[in-house]
Parts: sequence; C-alpha cells; structure tokens
Amino acid sequence: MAKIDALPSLDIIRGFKGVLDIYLWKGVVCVRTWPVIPMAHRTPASMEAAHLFGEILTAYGLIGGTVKSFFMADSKGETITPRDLHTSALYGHLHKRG
Amino acid sequence: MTWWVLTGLQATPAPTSAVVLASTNNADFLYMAWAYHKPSWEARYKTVRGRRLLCGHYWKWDTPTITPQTEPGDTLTHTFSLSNLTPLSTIWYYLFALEGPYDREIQGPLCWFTLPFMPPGPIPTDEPIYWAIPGRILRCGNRYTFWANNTWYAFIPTSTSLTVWKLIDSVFNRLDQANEPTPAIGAFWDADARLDSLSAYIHIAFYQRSTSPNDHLCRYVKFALATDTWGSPETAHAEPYHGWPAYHVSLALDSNDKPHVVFPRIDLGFPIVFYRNKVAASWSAPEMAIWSHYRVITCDTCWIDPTNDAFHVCAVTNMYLHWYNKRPAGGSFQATLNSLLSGTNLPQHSLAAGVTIPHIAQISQTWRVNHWEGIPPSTHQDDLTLADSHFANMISSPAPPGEICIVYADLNNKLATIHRPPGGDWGAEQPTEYDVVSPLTAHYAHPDVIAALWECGGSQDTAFHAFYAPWH
Repeated sequence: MAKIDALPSLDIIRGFKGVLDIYLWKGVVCVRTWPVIPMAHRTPASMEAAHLFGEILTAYGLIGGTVKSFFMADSKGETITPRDLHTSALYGHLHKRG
Repeated sequence: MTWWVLTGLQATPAPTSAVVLASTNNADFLYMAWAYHKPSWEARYKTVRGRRLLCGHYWKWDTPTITPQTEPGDTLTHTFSLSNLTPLSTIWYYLFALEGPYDREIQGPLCWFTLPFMPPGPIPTDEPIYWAIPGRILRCGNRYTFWANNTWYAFIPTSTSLTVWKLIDSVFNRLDQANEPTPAIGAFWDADARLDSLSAYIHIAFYQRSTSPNDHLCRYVKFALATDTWGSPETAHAEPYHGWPAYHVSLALDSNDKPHVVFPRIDLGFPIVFYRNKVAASWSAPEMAIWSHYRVITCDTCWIDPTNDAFHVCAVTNMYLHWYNKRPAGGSFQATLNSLLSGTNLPQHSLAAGVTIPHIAQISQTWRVNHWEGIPPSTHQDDLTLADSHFANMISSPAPPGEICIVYADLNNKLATIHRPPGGDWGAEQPTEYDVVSPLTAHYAHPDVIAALWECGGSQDTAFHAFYAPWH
C-alpha cells in the first residue's frame, strides 16, 4: 500500500481496475495491489450469495418473450442492458414506491 | 429466501377491465402495482471509492394501486383481475412479491397495456316491456335479443313464422311481416340467432319440420338491420333429423361473420350431432361433432372462441350426460368428451356458456355447475344451494373473461341472477320482482348489460328486460 497526493480521475481509477486499487482511507488517498480473496477464505454467506447471483444470471434465459421485450424497452437508450435490469429487479432495485 | 422470474405474461384488456396472467418458475404469492401514469425514471447513485457513481435507475412510483393475485397461497400461475377501469387509458404496472433475496421485494419489469375503445353501450330498460306475439315462443336459446342502431331488437321464432321486433318509443314493432319466413308445409320447430360484428345482420338458423320425415330442413337466413328487412332463406342441410323427439339447431358466427351450424340427426340409425359451416356461397360437407354413444340427444348448443375461431359444441342426452367437443379453426373435431356428470333430474335443463372456456351446468335439486376447461377437461364442480328452476340460461361475459352468470326463474317464478367472478366463488342469489312463468332466455348485449326475454301469462305474453350485470 502507498499514499498518493491526490485522487486521480475516475477514468484512471477504472483503468487500473484489476491491477491497482485506488481508494480513500480516513481522507487519505491510498493505492494498493488489487485484493484477491482465495476461494478457501470465502465465508459460507459469501459463497451462498455468489451461488444465488449465478442462478439469477442464468435464469435470464427462462424469461418469456413478452417479459423480455419489456426489459428491452426499458433499457433502450440507456447504458444498462436488459440483463442488468433483470438483475436489479430480482434484487428489488428496479421499482421504488413512495 | 424465495426468488422467481416471469416465464410468461399475458394481459387481456377490455374497455373497462383487464386480466393479467403471469407464470413464474418458482411458486410465490405475487402482487401487482399499477397506475394510470408512467412512473418517473430516476437515477440511482452510490459512493464508491470516494466517488459518487451512477449505478443504475429505478422507476419511482408515487401512488400505485396494489392488487393481489386471485389465487390463494404460493402458486406458479398468477391471475390479476382489474375492473372499473377508464377506457382508452394506458395501465402501467409491475409484479412483485414481498420477500425476495436479502428481504427485499422481488420485482418484475415495467409493463403496460392500453384499454380499447368502448363503443356507446346499450341502454337498459327501467322496467320489463310487455307485448303480445302471434304465437308461442319456441325453444328459447340464448341470443334472441340484440342492441343495434341505438335500440333493441328481439328475434322471436314461432311455429308459423320467424319474427323480428324493434323497440321504438318503448313499443316493440314487428318488422317486415310480409316477408317473414314461413314453412311451406309443416312447422318451424327451433331457431337460433346471432348478431354479426358490424351489427349489420341478425343471422338465423332454423329447423323446418315437414309433414314428411324425409323433407326436414335445417335452414339459414339473414335479417338486414340497415333496412329492417328479411333476406331469402337457404338450406344448410336437408333431412337433418327424423325419428327422434328433438329438432334442434344451433348457430355461431366466426370472426369473419360466417355462420356455423350444428344439428342432431340420425346417421345409420344412431343419433349424432353434425356440423356444417358456410364456405363462400355453399355449405361444407357434414362433419360429426358429437357421437353420443347411442344416447338420444335432447339439446345442443355451440359457440366460437373469438380469439382463435375455435368452434365449441356441447349437447345433452337422455342418459343425463353432457357431451362436449371442439374444432380448431381449419382443423377437425377431436374425440367427443362426456362430462362424467350423471344425475337423476332434468337433463334437458342443461346450461352452457363460454367464450374461450366452456362452462356446463346441470339443474337438479341443487344447481350443479361443471366447468370444462380445455382438453382433457378439468372437472371443477360447484353445487349451488339454489332453488330448483325449469327456466335458466348460463351466460358468460366477454369482459372480464371468465365471468359467468346464470339468469333464471326461481321457485317463486321471479327473474333472478347469480354470478361468479373470474377465479372467484358464486355470489348470492339476486331475485327481482318480475314474474317469469315460461321459458326464459338471456345474453350479454354488452360486457355489463344483460338482456332477457321470456314468455309470460295473460294477453301480453312476451316480456323483455335489459339490466346492468351484477358487477356493473
């Protein structure tokens, strides 16, 4: 880990994604090697969440044609894909009431 | 933790109602959030690594209406029934369940449908209208009154002529009497009629019983509503029936307003319901619609599913059985099914209704209602604790789909109704103060207007009454 003087632009942060992790810690700009969590160190909850996420992604293939057309209509002109919307919907992040 | 995806979704909008059918890969209890306006599409942000990042959008709803599914408990299929909607409006909605992954709602996509235009509806009558006719009404079918040209028409077949009546200034006037179809010999025995989709013609099929069994005719004629005049009858089938005490004919119109008829006849000594339809200027070759296993056919009726032109036919035989068959548009009849409903009382007083789904009922000491749903039939039965009745019609509304109603004369000879909403239970009996002493017929003149015609005693022997359906 190393301290750097200023937070770089978002493009630079994203450019190093997977190699260097640039972040704020107590107001200090830090940079470190990209963290890698070995499989053996994952908690059961983390494993279950990953498993569910995989199932949800796979379930996109089960969606009926009419439903898929609504997802496609929502994502038209947006930077998100119909699959992104599907995932958001399953996690309850697509509609908000009140 | 329950989660699902929508594997199917179908909305069936009507002018003032809609039914949404959904299916999911896992069972759950779903709700529908809907509104007349489209929700706003708002950005969702979160702070990552000290930066405020756009991480998606959500639909923001202010005052949606929440409607639960009609099925109880967790299910794989989910039905949502909406009523009292505003015609021509767009309904925006999404389906959700309360508890999904991580205790958040699990949601479907934003969906929408637009309700169709509702033409000006028929005007109910305040009270029954009574008038005299020249002869007794023959068998009462279920399509003898019609709303067209902003007024009511009544088609009344008698043994000596077919008559059409038009309501003008609260009085039913007999139309084109000079050209009414009359039997050259013998007598008329039965008739059935339908109004076409353009309200241009009343299409009529009738049974002309001759003095000679070999000269019986199944005939067809149109009555033009633009000129209020009769057309020329034509023969749909010759020698349809002899030797058995029933001379019925039933008619249905397809989406092109072409007539289809069924009639029982004897073939090789056995009673069979036959089918013919009009193709161009001629009639198709007879097809066997119902094979009743040597049982005498006492009544038949038919209808056509407007969504796919599938032809449905059912019949009753004297062994207390109901029979049903279906002919897909352009296809062939399948194997005849019987209802497995055997009883001891009044098999001839059988009721049938349906648009996309056949509904069959039998009157006995209590009402027994048997629903055939698709093939093979799902034998859903309800025993209704109603009074016995000899005169009844079971009718189904095109909107909302699945709504069925029985219009009947109760034990006190009063006009009464009982109805069952889609996916719901039968409601309470709703009697009126109007006397009904003889055969009664009723149909939906409009999604929420029922028109009834019946015979009554005294010098004025016919009564007509149009009234709002129970759910109006």
